[in-house]
Amino acid sequence: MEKITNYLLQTQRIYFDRLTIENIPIMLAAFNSPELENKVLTDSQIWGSFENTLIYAKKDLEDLLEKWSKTSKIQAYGIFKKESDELIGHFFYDYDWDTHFVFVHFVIYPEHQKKGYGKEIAPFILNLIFKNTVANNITIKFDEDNVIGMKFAEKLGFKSSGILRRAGYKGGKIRSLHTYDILRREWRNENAN
Amino acid sequence: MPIEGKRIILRERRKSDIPDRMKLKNNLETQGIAQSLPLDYTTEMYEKAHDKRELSTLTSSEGLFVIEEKETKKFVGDISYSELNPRLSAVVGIGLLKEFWGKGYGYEAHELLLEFLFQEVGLRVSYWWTWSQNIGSIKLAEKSGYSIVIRSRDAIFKGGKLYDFLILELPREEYYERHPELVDELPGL
Repeated sequence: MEKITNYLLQTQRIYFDRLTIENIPIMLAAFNSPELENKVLTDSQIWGSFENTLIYAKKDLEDLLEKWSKTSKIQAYGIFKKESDELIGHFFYDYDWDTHFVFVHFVIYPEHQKKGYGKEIAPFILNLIFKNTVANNITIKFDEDNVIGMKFAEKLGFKSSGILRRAGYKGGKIRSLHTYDILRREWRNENAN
Repeated sequence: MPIEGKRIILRERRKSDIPDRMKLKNNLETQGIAQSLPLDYTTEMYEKAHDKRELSTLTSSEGLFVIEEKETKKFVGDISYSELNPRLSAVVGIGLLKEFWGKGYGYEAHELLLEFLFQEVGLRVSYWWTWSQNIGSIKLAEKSGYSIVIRSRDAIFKGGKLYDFLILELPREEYYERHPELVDELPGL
């Protein structure tokens, strides 16, 4: 069969597609990797419960994919390498009661990090949200240890919007959650420059 | 036994509260949270939700109370909490019928609920969600010791304008500092 090259959602090296049960083994390995511990991997309540699953099972991810496919307020996609069709990460965005206020998260799985994929896809994802929803504020949240993520968000034009000092308890420690946001007009200005 | 204050009690929700609870929700001013719900709530919807609710011991993630004036037994408003992380954090919500605004009932009800949350549930932190234009709500939370920790800019659309979404936070030890009459015997984590 001829390889599809005309992807609907794509950047130079990446295309995005819906996640299916065939993707679960790779997702499972990533979700259970120590490198991704305390990263935001699933939608939780908007500010809500801290992700404290210690070990994910296949069934957890089946349930997650089913939820993602059935919930219109959540849009979730796999991040695939064009070259090999390999799943290298995922992203999702969701909102609660006001669609002007959208949360986004994306994660590149450990073995594919530090190859510039984040820089390549982050602007694409922000454009995707601003062009396909009425979002005025896109917010991203980070565990306190994810300093790299926070610095990256700042480079994209996000600004700190605060810290929840007691977002959860894990690994013998009360953990804080740091939030950053960017407004539609700020993103427009970023892109104009 | 309800949670009893000076002028009010916090008690369980009853079917007979439905007409008053509908009044709260079918009014943009008293919906009490940072959302504009459609003003189309009906008795049938409320009854269905009421009947569907299971024993709190099975769900245990939320507490839903009615604020009742002791002297008159009148419905004053709704107050609730929803646990974010069990026994660690919860968000509190309150809504009062307009005729009871400005009388200190909101403060009294909230303080009663906080005592329950810190002394009985053992929360490490209580959260309050609101939006920047809701000055009454911000003042009420600040009066009980909360401070703003999250300000998401231009995120909530209400009354033709975008407002900031706010989260206020009250950590456990700050609550006990304000209440020297209570002793915190829960060991730190």
